[in-house]
Amino acid sequence: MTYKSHLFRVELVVFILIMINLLIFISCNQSNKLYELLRGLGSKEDKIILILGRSINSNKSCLACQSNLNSEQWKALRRVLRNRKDIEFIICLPKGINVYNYAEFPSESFKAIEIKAPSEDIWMIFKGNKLMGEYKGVADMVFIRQAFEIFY
Amino acid sequence: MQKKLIYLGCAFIFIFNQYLSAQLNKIIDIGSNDPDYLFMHISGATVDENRNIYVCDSKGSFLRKYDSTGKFIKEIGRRGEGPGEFSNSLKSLLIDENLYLLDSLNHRIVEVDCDLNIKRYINLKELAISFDKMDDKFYLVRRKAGEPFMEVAVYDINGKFIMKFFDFCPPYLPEKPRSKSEYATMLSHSEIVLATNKEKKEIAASFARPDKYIEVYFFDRNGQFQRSIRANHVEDYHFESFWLSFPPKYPAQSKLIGISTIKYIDEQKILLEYWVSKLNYQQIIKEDEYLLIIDTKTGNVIHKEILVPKIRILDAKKDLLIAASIDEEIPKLLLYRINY
Repeated sequence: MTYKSHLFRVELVVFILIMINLLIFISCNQSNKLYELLRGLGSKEDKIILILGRSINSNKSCLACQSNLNSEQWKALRRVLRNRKDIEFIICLPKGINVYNYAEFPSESFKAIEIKAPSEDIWMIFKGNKLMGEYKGVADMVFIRQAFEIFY
Repeated sequence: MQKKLIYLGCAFIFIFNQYLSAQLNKIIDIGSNDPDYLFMHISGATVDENRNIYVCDSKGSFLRKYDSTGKFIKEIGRRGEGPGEFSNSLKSLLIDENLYLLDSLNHRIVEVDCDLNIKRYINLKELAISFDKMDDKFYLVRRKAGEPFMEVAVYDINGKFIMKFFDFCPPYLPEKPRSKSEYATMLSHSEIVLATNKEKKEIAASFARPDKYIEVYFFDRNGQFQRSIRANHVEDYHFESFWLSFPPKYPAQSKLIGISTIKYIDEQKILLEYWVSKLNYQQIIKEDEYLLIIDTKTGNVIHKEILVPKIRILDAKKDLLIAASIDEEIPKLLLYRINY
C-alpha cells in the first residue's frame, strides 16, 4: 500500500467520524430546540398546560399519541386532574402529526416545525404562565403525585 | 305425570342455580382518584396475618401498604433500574416472613419487610414470567432455552440456580416448530400457571391453554413429578389447531378456553381463574370468566361461579380472595370473603 492511499484512508475515517459527531450534535440541539419551544409555548398560553413528547424514530410519529394516550399512566394523570377545569393537555407531536390528535393542537407553530423528538418523555407543568415542574421519563406515581401537588 | 315433570324441572333449576350461586362477598374495595388510592395497573396483591394489604402496580412502578380497613399507610418505588426503583413489569407479590416482588425486566426479586423497607435484591440471570416461593426456594416460570415451551427453574433464597423441571408440553403442539411464525404461536400457547402449597410441600402446574380436559400436574418441592388430575371443562371443548397458524384462519364459529391463575385455597382445594371466549370468525361475541374450585385428589369441580363483574385474581387465602377489577373506569383492588 502506498503512503498516499494510506493517507486517503485515514482522511476518510476522520471525515466519517466528524460527520457522526456533527449528526449527534445536530440531533441533541434539535431536542433542545423542542424543549425551548414547548417551554415558550407553555409560558405564552394562559391556561395550565401539560406537554408530553416522544417519538418513534422508525415512523416519525409520536409514541405518546399513537399508543400511550390510552395508557394506564396517561389515564391516571387525567383522572387525578379531572376536576380541574383550567387544565389543558397539549400533546406534542414533533413530526408526523396524526389525524386523531391534530384537533387538539392549539398552536400552528407545531405544524411547521420538523425537529427530532427528545429521547425520553418530557412532561412540563405550567400554571399561571410559569413552569411549575418538569419531569423526564415515563410517568410513574412520583410524577403523578408531583402534578397533583401543583394543582391542588 | 305433567305435575311431576314440572316439579322435576323446578328442582333442576334450583340445583343448577345453587351450583352457580355467588359465594363471593366483597368486604373491601380500594381505589379512587386520590393519589394514595390511585392505581394504574394492579399486578400483584396479598395480605399478611393482620390483614394488612400490600399491592404492587406495574405501570405506576410502586408498592403500597394499606391497613385492614383499606386506609393508606405507605408507598415505595418509582420507575427505574436503581435501588428503590422498579420496572414496568412488576409481577406476582408473595408474602412469607417478608414480601417478595418479582421485578421481571430488572431481572430481580425484591425482598421487602412488612414496613416496606427494601431488605435486599435477589438478582436473576433470566427473564421470569411468574414465580412462587416455598420454604427456601423460588420457583420461576421461564421459557425453555431455544424451545417454544415453558419450564420451572428452581432458585435458592440467594438467587443461585438449583435445577429445572416440567417437561410436559400441550398435546396439541408439534414437538418442534415448523416455521418461525409457528414458533411464536407455540410459545404463546404453551404458557403454564403455577401454585405452591407450603403445608403439603407441593407444587401444582397447569397449561394456560388446556385441551380436552383441564390437566393439573403435581410435583414435590424438588420438582419430582408426583401425579396429575383431570378436570372437566364447563362445556365441551378441544383446542382447535387453526390457532397455531399465523395469522389464524378463523372458522365461522370457534372458542378458546384459558386459565389465568391457579391458587391453593387449602391442601384439598385449588382455585382456577378460567375463561371461555366464543368467536364469530375473529370477533369475540361472548366472554365468560369463571372461578372454579377443584378437588386436588379427584379432579372433581367442587364449585363453579361466573365472575360478574370481571375480576383478575391475584391471591387466595383460606377464606379470602384478592383481586383487581377489570373494565372499570377506576382500577380497584377488591377483597372478597370466600366460603367453599
